[in-house]
Amino acid sequence: MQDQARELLDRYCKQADNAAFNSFYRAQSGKLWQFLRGRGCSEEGAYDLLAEAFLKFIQVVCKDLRAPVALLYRIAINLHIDQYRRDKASPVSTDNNSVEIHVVESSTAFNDERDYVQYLMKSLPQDEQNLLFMRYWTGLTHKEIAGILDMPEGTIRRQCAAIIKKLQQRWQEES
Amino acid sequence: MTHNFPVPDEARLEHLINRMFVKLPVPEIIRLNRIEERLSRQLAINRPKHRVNKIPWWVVLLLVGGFATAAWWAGERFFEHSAVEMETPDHGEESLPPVTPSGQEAEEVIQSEGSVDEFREKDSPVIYQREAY
Repeated sequence: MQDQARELLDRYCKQADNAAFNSFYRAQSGKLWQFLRGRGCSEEGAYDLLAEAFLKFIQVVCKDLRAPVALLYRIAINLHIDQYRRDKASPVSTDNNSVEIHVVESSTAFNDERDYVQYLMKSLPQDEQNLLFMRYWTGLTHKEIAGILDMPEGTIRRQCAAIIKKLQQRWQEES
Repeated sequence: MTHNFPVPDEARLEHLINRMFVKLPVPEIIRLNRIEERLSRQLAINRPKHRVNKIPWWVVLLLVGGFATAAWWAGERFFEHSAVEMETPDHGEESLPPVTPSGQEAEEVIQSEGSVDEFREKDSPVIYQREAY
């Protein structure tokens, strides 16, 4: 998937192929929006940040085509952090919309394993949820996530393994 | 909260996590298309520049600096060399160390040869001069 993204952006940068960029946008925009929602953005805020992230991405992507998806997520995270700081400095409105990941209540009966995993994910801190999202939904490698979060690759690898272990333990305890 | 699901192995759990994300809310296609249109307009303005001969600025600076230093050094050497040539004209002879008589010898020569002027005349580089009658 990452290779495909790189190929599309390579075409955009070297041949000025806008259609290739649009394909990249269609492949990534939905997941990035979900990621931003998962980080606590409101629905509208996620659209705004998505647009802003892609606009910034256009300006810098051709300088380094090694990990474009990681770059896009890094830009989005930075923009979200900036927005969070701005809102904290001058709060205007509060948005209590939570992502569907938080919707399942512990009292609900679990229809299948997926529901139960959703319930388990709810118990994880936001950082760990983001890590799992990037790894298992966006399909980023440990190295790419390390690039996004400014952390060593080994740390990310260890953290992912630790989260999986923690989920397995809880699963065991509650069965 | 208890359940009856068997504990999954690592691969199965990773798969379940992936499946769980499918349940996340999806963005509206119309909104995404609107952003795409906005981006397309921006792409038309912000067209990537395709440069074939892309040389880093510091390489150019280094080369220019190197050439300037070389030119300055060569020029200095050339002028120094020509100045030395002007000071010591080459007669095509081997330069011998000048034979200068010691103080006492000089005195003797002066006394035997006559006046100081005559001695100077003998020492003069003019070896032949047509006498004017």
